[in-house]
Amino acid sequence: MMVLSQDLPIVVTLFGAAVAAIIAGSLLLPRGQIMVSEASSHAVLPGMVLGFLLSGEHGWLMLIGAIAVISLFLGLTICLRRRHRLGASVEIAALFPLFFGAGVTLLSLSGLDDTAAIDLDHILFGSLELILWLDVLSPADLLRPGAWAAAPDQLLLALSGAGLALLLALAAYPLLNRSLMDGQAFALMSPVASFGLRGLEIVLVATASAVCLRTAGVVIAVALFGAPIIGAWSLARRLWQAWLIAGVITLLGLGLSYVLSAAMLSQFGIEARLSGLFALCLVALAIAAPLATGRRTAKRPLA
Amino acid sequence: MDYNTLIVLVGLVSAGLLLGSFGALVSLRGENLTADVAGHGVVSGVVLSQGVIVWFGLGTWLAEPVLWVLGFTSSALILCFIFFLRWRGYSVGASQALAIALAYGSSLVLLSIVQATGAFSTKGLTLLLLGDAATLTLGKVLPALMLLLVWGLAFLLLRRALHDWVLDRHASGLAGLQSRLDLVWAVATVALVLSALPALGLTLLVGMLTLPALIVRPWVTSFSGLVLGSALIGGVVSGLAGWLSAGVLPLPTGALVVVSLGAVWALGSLAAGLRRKGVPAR
Repeated sequence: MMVLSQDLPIVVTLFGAAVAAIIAGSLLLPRGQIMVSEASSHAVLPGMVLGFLLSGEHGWLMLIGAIAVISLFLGLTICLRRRHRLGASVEIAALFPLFFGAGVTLLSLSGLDDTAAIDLDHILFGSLELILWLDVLSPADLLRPGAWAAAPDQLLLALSGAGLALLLALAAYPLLNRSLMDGQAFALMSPVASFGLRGLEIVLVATASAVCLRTAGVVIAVALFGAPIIGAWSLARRLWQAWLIAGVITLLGLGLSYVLSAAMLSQFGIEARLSGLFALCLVALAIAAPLATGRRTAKRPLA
Repeated sequence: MDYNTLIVLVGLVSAGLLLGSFGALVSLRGENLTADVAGHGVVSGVVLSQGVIVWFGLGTWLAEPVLWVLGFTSSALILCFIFFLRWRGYSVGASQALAIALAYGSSLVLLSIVQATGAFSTKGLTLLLLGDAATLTLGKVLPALMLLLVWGLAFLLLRRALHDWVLDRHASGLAGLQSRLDLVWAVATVALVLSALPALGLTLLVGMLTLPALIVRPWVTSFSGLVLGSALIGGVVSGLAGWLSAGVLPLPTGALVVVSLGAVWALGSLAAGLRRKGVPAR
């Protein structure tokens, strides 16, 4: 049985992170750039280290540092792709190890690698099981303002990230939809509109990456960016449909991973990492989605 | 120079030569991120190998062979998954994204199972991702040296076929070599990743596969020049960074290698840009 103080914050955090990741992933996938999610989850390290060095805590400055560095990474990726034409995804493969290497070097230079202040283990694999909301013991507690004041940071961050991503995506929906569905129309856009749109995309992807990493870790971030939207694109005709179907896939994945986790515990006495099970369930659902509806190919080509 | 430093330098130089030259081919084919995903596929095999050693009570001398067999198998399975998805009509990016999520997810679930027997920790996984050149031993360096020898011979014998395989797929197809070389490429990628893993770790390894070729590209006009130049740059920068890391700059070796390659790339691109504009490069 679900324990509100333990499982509810995990579910809400994951779903909030998923909303931000689905919106960002839907912008990356049709352009053939979905692996940016994996790359930015490694490239973020120098931003997190700098944010921590400046503030001395795991607060907003660390998040801002992460968003700034991911934005820089994305900007450089776009610049290299346009100016140098290095080859499919070669610019991503060249830049993210550089950023990660710079982060590791910075960790070592600052002496933080000898402390537990920036735990790479925690960043990479997440620690969903540590997200607790002790003020919520029954559904009625959710209506108490005091309970929300004591809500876990990860949960609030995920909800804020989801809210911001939804707000920006809905406000720019016609532009985003046109740029993804009709490449020729996008090419005819004015330079200012084109630049603005690229800027918005960078903000959406960087925010989603930073939020996913800070709340759930690299494993979940990579799975959330790719799997739900890949499954959804094979079924949807429009962008908003892809978002909705991806949301449903995420919820199904969450449910399935909880069931599997409980089954492993009861049958084998093994407490499997929820993040790993969730990632596996999302991949399985993404592949099963087109098969279940009898479609052999995607409605839209995944560039 | 003491024995340990010498082993570390030999390991780094051989990894640099190997990854640099092989990376030139990978970059020309645009499969750098596939190699990255294959690298991540190794992790679940490594985790499982720790469990197998404990569950079956195998001797510690078997740890390395079991790790190689299971790491190779898991990585090959991830590559097969990518090719299966591509065959099903998924794009290159989508198949890579699903495969890496599968690799991460399976690694963590297997880790939970192995941890239940107390055989492994997430710290071990972090080490795999970051590498630890300082702990290289002759046993860990030998596979890279052997692969370097095999790869060197293969390049000498198959230079023309490899050229066609990356730059002229039509000619390669007509010669009936394409699918065979595709298979050899997949096997070689997995072997290469496994051999370079202890020195550089997964995340930095893809930088070593990509950056040397990018550094050399503006300065060469032939396929052989690109492959040999990338090998040279990879080997020299790795050796130099390893030597600096051993004494002058006490920084993590893998990170120093990649950051040094990045600096050389930036300077090289600047010089190449100046040369194109008619200003003589100094």
